Amino acid sequence: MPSDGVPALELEGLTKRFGDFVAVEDLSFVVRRGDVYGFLGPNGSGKSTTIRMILGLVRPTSGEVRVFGHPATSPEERARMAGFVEAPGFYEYLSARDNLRLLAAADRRAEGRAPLQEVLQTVGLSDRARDKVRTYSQGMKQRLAIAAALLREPEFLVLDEPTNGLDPGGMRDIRALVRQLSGEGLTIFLSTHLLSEVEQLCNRVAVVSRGRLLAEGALTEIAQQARDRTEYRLVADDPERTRTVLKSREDVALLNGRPEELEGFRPEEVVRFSTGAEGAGPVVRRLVEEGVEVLALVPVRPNLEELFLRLTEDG
Amino acid sequence: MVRWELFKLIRQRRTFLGLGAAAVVPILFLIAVRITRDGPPPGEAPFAAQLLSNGLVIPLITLAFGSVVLLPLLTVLVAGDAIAGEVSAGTLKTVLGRSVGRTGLFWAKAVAVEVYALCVVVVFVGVGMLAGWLAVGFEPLAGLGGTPISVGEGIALTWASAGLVALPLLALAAFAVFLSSITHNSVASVVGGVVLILLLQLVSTLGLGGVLDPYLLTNQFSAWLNLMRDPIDWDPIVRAAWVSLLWAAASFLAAWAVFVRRDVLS
Repeated sequence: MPSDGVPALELEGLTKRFGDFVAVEDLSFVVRRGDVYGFLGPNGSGKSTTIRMILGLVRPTSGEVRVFGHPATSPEERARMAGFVEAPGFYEYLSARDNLRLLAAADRRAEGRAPLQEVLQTVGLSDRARDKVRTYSQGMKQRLAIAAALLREPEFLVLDEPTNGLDPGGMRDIRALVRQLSGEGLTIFLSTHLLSEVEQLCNRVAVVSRGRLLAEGALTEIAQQARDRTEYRLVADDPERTRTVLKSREDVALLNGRPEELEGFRPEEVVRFSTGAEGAGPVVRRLVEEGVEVLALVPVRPNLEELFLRLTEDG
Repeated sequence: MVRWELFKLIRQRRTFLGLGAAAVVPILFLIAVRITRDGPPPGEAPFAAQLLSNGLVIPLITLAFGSVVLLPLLTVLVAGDAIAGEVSAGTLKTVLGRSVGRTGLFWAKAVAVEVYALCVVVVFVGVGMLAGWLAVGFEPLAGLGGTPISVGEGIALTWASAGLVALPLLALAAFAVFLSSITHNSVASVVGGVVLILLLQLVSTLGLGGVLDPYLLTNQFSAWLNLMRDPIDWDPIVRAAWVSLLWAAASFLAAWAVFVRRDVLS
């Protein structure tokens, strides 16, 4: 798996406006070869518009998409890439096999029987290949979309919410397939709103919300960012005084909002705050100096889920 | 790609509906004529005098009334769906994700739609001719100036007429493809095509066309009648050809220009 050389995908200042609405704003990141790159964001955050620009379906208002170093403005320059965006569309009145043959023809490839059977086998659709796509379930259509992409023998695979609308078994199958394809050396760009999917499959991730990039990097780095700023829940005999003390300190952020749960205490007694790398020690010392008795102190390490929510809600 | 566009067309119900109607209507007309044994009064329609006695006038009379609404409708039914149908089914994004460029795909579609429009005319005239021959038999035609036309010449002139009717039909198909390209909506494109025809006919009927009247697309549908005169009046025929080609070229070029630039959002 080559990790050097030109990246599989580069976005540079990619922006798309529809009238006054900014769907994607100044998006820049790089997908290196061999990555399983997670593109994470809530629904309606501009993920699909971005993928449409990558696939050449939508023209960027400004900015550039480069695929293997070339501006992806013509089909030839996108030839090493394959994928789909949103619910895959197929000719429902044709069989899966005819759909694939048609798409192979649209690639100006010989519609060889062997590759056709091979990709159908890979996604587990060989038995139903002669049936009309109209009779297919959502999961089968998703798998057919992956087969259609693989038929191009791409080096770079773009998958938009490939497990959307699938039952747990279907999700597991697709994820296993993504792992297998990545193992075979494909670079994969995987858009999803499911954090668990990114955690299971991806090595790098970009988090977007409302068309803007919120975080980007190796999954472990982003998780580290989450850990660097630890949250605490604290209960003292005088919550009011505690808040006053906390507010006076620059290294502490008092977190309001949701009522806090801490077993054995009433929610209004619980104070939530976060500190930097120095931890809660200085805070507790100060509280004791002020004559506040600390009854409980519980560190809360935000998991990726919480980090994701925090990023996308505050952004 | 053209081959696959045609393959897709023949696998769609819409196409069969169109071709089926083109085949059924001449037969229904003939049955109605045979049952009532009562044609339109002579002079009302061309060739009506021979309606009951000569099967060769069946395709000509059906062509005369079919080119007013039926053939245009059957043409835009499929042509208006050419791009919009792929947009609503979400297949356009699938195909455009492949190596075929937008230009290549567009012209493949354009050719497929025109082949369909030609098939509509061929089926319509062919079935009418066959039914007329089987049910009534052929006799020499009375031409529009009264000059008799032999059976062989009549058959040749009927097919020439079909070709002449096909010209504005191809232009209309191109216009429906244009609507399909700008609206991305099948129903709007089909209705839009029909509305254009009705509007132009209305303009012509109310005499609003002025000097432009001979150049309206709808008025080219009757150019074939001039083939049935002795001598043949070529002026309206030549005009039908270039007016139709101009419409077709303008529509296709505009449709193509939109198609290659338009964002695909479905």
